[in-house]
Amino acid sequence: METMQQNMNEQMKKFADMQAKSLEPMRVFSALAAEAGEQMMRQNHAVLGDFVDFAVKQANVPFNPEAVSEATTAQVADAMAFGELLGARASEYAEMVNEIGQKTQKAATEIVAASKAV
Amino acid sequence: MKDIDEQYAEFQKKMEPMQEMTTVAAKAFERIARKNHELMGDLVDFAVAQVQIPQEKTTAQEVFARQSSDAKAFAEKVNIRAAEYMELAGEFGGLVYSVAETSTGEAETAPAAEAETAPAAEAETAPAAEAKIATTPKLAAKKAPVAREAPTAKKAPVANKAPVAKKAPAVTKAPTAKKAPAVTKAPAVTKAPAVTKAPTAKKAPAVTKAPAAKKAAKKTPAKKGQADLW
Repeated sequence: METMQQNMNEQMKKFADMQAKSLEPMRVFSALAAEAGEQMMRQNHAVLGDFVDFAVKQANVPFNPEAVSEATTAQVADAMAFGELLGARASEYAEMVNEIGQKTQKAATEIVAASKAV
Repeated sequence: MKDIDEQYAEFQKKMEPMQEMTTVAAKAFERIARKNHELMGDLVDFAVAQVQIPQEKTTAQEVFARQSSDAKAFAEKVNIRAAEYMELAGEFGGLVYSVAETSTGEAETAPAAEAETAPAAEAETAPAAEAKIATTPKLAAKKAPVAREAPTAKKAPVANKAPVAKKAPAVTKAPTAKKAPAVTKAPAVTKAPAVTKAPTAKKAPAVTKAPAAKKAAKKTPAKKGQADLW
C-alpha cells in the first residue's frame, strides 16, 4: 500500500513538473505583457501630465494679458502647441506598439524553434 | 460704441477685486491637478510592481509576502498623500480668507469715498438744495450698509458670522442691503424730489404748479371721462 502511495506521489510530482516545463515558454509572454503594460501605463501617465500642463496654462492665460486679442492669441498658440504635442505622443504610442509587436513575434519564433528542437 | 479691447479692459478693472480670488483659484487648481498627477504616478508604480512580482518570485508564498508588503507600503504612501491634500486645503483656505479680507477692505473704502463725493456734487447741481441734502444722506446711509454688510455676510458663511446674521436684527438690514441695488434705482430716488417739489411749488409762483396741476387734471379727468364713457 505504501509503495502504491509513493508511486502516486511521484506521479503527481512528475505531472506538476511536466506542466511547469510545458508552461515555461509562456512565461516569456507574460513578461512581455507586463513590460508592455508598464510602458503603456507610464505613457498614459505622461500624456495626463501634458493635459495637466495644458489645463494649468489655459487657466493662467486670461490673467496675464490685458487685451482680449492677446489672451485669445495666447490661448490659440497654446492649443496649437498642445495639438502638436499630442501628435508626437500618438507617434510614440505607434512606435511602442510596433516595438511590442516585434518583441512578441521574436519571442514566438524562439519558442517555436525551441519546441521543435525538443 | 466702445472697442472690445476697451470693454474688456473696463471689465477687468471692475473685476479687479475678484482677480486675486481667481488667481488663487488657478493656483489651487494647478497644485491640486499636479498632486492628482503625482498620486496617479504612485498608482502606476504600485500596479507595475504588482504585475512584476510573479516574474521575480518563484513560489506562491514569496509572491503573497511581497504583494502584502507592497500593499502596506502603498497604503502608507496614500496616507501621506492624504495628509498632503489636507495641508493643501488648509493652505488654500487661509489664502482665500486673506484675499477675501483684503478685497472687502477695498470694497469698504471705495463706497465711503463715493459717499463723500456724491453729496457734494448733488448739492452743487440741485436747485432745491435742502430737499436733496435730505435725500442724499439717505442714499449714503443706504449705500454704506451695502458695502459693509454684504462682504461680511460673504466672509462669514463658513465659520463665525453666519450665526451673527441669524441672531442679529441685521437680518432686517440684510434685505435693505439686498434692496440696496435699488440704490442704483436712483431714478426712483430722484422721483422723490418730485414729491419734494411741493415745497418749492409752495414758494414758487403758481406757474410751476400749474403744469403739475394741469397734468394731474389731465390725467384724472381723462380717467373720469373714460369712466363716464364706459
